[in-house]
Amino acid sequence: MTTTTAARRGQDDAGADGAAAATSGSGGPGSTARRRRRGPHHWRRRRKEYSLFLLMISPNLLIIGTFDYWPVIYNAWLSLTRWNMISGAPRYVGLQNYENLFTSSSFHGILLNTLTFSAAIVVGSVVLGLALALLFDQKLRGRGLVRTVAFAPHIVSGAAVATLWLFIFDPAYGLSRVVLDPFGIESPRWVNDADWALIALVIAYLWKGIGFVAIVYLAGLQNLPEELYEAAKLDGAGTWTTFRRITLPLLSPVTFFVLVTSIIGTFQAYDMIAVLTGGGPGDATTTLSWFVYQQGFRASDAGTAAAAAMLLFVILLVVTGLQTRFVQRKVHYT
Amino acid sequence: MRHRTVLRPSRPSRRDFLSMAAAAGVAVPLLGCAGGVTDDGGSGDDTSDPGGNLDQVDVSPPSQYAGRVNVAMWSAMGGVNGEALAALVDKFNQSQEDIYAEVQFQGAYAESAPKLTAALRAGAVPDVMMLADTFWGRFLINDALEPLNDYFDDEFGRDDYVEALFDEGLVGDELYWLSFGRSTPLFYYNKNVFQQIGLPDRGPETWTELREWSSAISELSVNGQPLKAHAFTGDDDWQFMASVWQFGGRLSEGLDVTIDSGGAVDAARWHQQYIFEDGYGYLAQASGTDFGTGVVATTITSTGGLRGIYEASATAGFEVGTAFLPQEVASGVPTGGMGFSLLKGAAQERKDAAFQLLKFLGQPENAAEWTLATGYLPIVKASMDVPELAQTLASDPNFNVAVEQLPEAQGSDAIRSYLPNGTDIIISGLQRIYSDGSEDPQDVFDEVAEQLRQGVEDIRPGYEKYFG
Repeated sequence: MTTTTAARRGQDDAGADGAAAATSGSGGPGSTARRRRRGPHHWRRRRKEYSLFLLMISPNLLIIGTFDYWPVIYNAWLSLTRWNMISGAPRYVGLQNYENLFTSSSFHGILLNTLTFSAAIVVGSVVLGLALALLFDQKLRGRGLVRTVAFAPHIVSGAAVATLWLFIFDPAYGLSRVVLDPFGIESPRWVNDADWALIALVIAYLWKGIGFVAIVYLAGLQNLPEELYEAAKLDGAGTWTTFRRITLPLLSPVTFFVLVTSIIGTFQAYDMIAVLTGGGPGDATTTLSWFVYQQGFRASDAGTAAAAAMLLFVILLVVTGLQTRFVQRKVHYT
Repeated sequence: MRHRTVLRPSRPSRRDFLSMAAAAGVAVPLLGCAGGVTDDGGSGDDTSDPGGNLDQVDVSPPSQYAGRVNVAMWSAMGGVNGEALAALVDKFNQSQEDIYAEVQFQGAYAESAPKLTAALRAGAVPDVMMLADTFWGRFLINDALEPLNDYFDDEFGRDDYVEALFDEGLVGDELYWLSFGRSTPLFYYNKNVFQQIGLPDRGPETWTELREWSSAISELSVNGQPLKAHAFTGDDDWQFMASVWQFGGRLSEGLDVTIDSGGAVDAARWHQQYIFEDGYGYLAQASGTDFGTGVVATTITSTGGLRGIYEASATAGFEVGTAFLPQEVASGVPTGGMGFSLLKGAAQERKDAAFQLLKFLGQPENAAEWTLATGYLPIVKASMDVPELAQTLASDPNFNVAVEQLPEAQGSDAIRSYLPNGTDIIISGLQRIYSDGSEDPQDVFDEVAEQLRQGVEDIRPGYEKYFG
């Protein structure tokens, strides 16, 4: 037992040193002998390697630090202040901004909007994206063209897509009437109706993103091992059983990817909200990210905007953490 | 596997070290910039200095104007209006040899104002800033605007302007904002529809009269749907403020919020019933567009929209009528639109040059050109005597309605002008009432008033410094 551990430790050391040697680019004969003795010479050498390591990563660290970490830290400080950004200096107010947010009923509505929007997009993307992918996977004529067409909205800018949907949703002349008129349904005032605005936003957002999800699923489908399906067929499994027992579990890494990206995407959604609804009517389509913009740049209220942005940051951190912990554990990698 | 050669660790060469050192050299000053933002934020009231501490945003004069004093003007006007302004500024550059002015479009009012905030933080600002009537106040009470009285002289001053509009830029006796593209709302109606159902060729005198007319209007149909009688605007609270006045209320008295009482609640309740119980009206995405395309029979929108509506209605094939705003218990006509301010922190030479541009724009023939091109009100008195404008005013009754209505007009209630998100909060409440028949206007405006009052606490000290 002892020997094994010792041997393993020896191996680990060799591995670590080997890696360091590779980094410094000077591995070679002679290093094996030096590994045994850990004299002052060894540590000097180590320090030199670390210095080199630090020097090499410092440009990246500086840039990441400047543009990623510093804004987060500065934002955290701003969230504890009140400041209109036009003149004067941020005034420290402690947790006042957070208290205001949590006690405001309209902010509860905004959080609920954010969750509803996110959930609708996540579920919609997975279900519709997978359905489209299954369709694209069939050997049908013209599927190459259809795949391209379905993917196209993903590469168009959100503002352009939203403008397009504004036309479609026009209650008098919009294309949406083509769908509704045959059923004798009067068109809702989509983006100007408190009950419909969020639905309109979800429809437009799904339409834009669905092609991308479908292509990702399609790539997953085409990598699935054929022999599992053959075996299942021999065992007499039906289409539904095959789908539920083989396709879905094997696609779980893709689903995991789609989950993470759509949740983050919806929490950060801005462009389509700006063009389609401007967060309205009332607060009906105001999500957390839109609220941050509104408070920061329309209301000139840096403190409230920063506090809301911190909440957004924490929520995304927690969601991603939970996903890695619980969802990823169930993911089957083939 | 093909890429193995690329991934193979190799000994860093001297060149690699040099380029890394260069990259680190770039990154360090960047970090320094970010640090500067906090230092700036912490250093207090530097914007209240007498001037010269703020740099100029980038201006790129064409070679023929090189060597002149540069003036940067930030504009919130795109489209036809933006072109008209650019033409005037171009004319200014050709008219003299000392100053080069450049118009820089920065997006609509709500986008360009935050950009000015950012510019003040960054320490490089435009010299002339176009600000809507409800946007300059927030920069005023933060000490960012230059007092303008000393720039005027005997040959150019208040007497040249329609006094009531000029005076909206006054704080006490000091001018901080010089009117330029000013407007009032007008009542627009579709003459063909009115004729078809036998209504008189005029606007309704009261909201009650509009309701009486509306049932006949809604019997007509357009594009397979019942014709709506009136389109309400939900992305602005300007028209609603007019209604509040017409129903005898106020949004605020000074900074004391009154939107949760009297005429404000009455007006909202009336509009909501008209939309949901009567079914005559609706909340429009763009009321001017809907009216111009014939989807709705009447609406209320800016005088500045007249040109655009003419073009649209010509395509849709109907004649446009305009009228004074309907009353209910009182007359209520708010002014709107924009004017120019100078930035206090800019160098004196730039401010002097910038004012020369404002003076040029205030000359009668230039003011007339602007009014003709856009439909904004004539605000320079002598511009109405310039032949082209005089002729248009005489021959187009719609254009004249705006001028005739002007004596009734007043400036906005203070809460919209000084609280940065005052209009946003009101608009949000208004949208709830206009888009949902089950929302109670009193409850909504109670919430709106509470939010407004919270905001007022932050701005009151600055406001009282100027108005106390």
